[in-house]
Amino acid sequence: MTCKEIEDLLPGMIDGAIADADKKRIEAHLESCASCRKAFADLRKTDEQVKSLEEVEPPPWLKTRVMARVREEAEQKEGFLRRFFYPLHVKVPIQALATVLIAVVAWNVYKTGEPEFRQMAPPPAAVQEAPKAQAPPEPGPAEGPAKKDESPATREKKSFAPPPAQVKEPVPQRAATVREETMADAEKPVERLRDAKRPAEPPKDEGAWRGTGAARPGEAGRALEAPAQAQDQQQKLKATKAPVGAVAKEAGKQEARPAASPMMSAAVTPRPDLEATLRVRAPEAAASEVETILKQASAQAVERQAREGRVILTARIQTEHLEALRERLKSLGPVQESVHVAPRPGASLTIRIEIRPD
Amino acid sequence: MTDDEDVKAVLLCQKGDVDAFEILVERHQKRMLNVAYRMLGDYEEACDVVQEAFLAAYRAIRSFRREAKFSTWLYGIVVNHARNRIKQAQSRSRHETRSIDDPVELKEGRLQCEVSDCGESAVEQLEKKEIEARVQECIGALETEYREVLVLRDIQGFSYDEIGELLNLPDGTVKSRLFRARAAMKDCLVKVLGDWP
Repeated sequence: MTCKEIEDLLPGMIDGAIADADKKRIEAHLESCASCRKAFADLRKTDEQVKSLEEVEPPPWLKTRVMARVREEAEQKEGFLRRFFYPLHVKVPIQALATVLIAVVAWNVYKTGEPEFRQMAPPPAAVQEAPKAQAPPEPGPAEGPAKKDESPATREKKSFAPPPAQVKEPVPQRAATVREETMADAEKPVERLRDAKRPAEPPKDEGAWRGTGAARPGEAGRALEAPAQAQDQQQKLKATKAPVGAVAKEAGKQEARPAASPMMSAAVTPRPDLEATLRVRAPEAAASEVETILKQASAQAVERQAREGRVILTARIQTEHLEALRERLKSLGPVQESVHVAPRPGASLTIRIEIRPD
Repeated sequence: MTDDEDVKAVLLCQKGDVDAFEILVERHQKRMLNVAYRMLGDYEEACDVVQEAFLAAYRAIRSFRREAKFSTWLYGIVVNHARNRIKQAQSRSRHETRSIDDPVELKEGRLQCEVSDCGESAVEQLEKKEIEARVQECIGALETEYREVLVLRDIQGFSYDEIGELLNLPDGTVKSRLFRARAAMKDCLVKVLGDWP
């Protein structure tokens, strides 16, 4: 080891920050080299001088000043927030932001679901909504949680436009539930409301209306049939595979039609007691035949509607003519029936015949 | 006071308790001031730097994660501030560049005398404070990177690991800088003080 190399390592000897092997070699060298010994001695003295430097004491005002500046800093932060929210001492910016956000979301939802809003009929039987609160909650298609992987737009659409098979699904369930409720307890609000409305209803609707929910003797059994009817209705709807809009529109029309009374039309949209779907090759021609058959069966209030290749006929018919009507319809083509209210002898019932292309 | 107490105070500060910061100031102000003072060689400036460093620490305390010791983090801040102050001073008086070979200007206005000019009697006349002043001048004559390791290790007694963490330097670099700083200090003091006892 040369003196230069030793001198480079000597500072490490001060606090033993060199390897043991180097330390031994340096010690051996120092024994024989006077200049390196002096250099090491100077290093030690330097170290002593450096270490003997007196510590300075902080001035008493240092902490006070530091804390004053720190508090000022903290208050500035707080002060900024306070100034930001100062006007009227309410969280104006947050509220403004929230309002804008809500407006944007609402506009977006409206724009996204506008067609569905138009197609969707007003909730059936607003009057019936009252007992709905008492009825068990229905798992409506719009109430299900949206899947996580769906985009917001899809979720919005789904929530306002349920798939075709589900559009009408809740209707029979709700009707059945309401019927169950009303039949089980004739004193419930719906019934009372209906009683209150009855004088305003025209006589021709009374039968239909009462047929859907009045507590008549012998009708309690119908409540038990309701789920089965609902299932039947659902199957029928699935079979038609009608687009969402068409089904929704039809539902709206159908529910709005029997509302002869303005009060009734605003409040309730009764459903026909019997629905039949007739499949024929030429719906228009068959519809004319069916109209004739209805007239022959002394049907009243016969109405005809043509839509997208289908023809829908609604009418009121006496129960005794029902069997004959069935036979005549069957002679025209395959008929699917959904009986919502069992026919009673001597009473009339509303029927809806949908004539579809085969 | 232990590091745990530091941690408690830091957690309180992070939750917005300003008063808890006073505990940290109380605990660390002296050492921070001494680090800054030995690096800068000016008491008033050192006080200034310490204030700035504490304020910076307070502003950044929410971002402090307990991956390092709080004291290491805090002294790193003061060293950075002192280093920046030195840079500013150097840029202000660039024409007055110094090196350890340049004469050391003493506060009293006396210039360093060459070893040959300084007799023993002169060294003897220097009082302890004057020797200290020259030691401080020699420290101030070191390049900043050497100065900071010398101050941290030989004056403040930080370990090599702590210095490496504090300055974000590898252990080998810390050692080589320290060895060179010590050697330069020795040369400077020999020049300033001659053969002092």
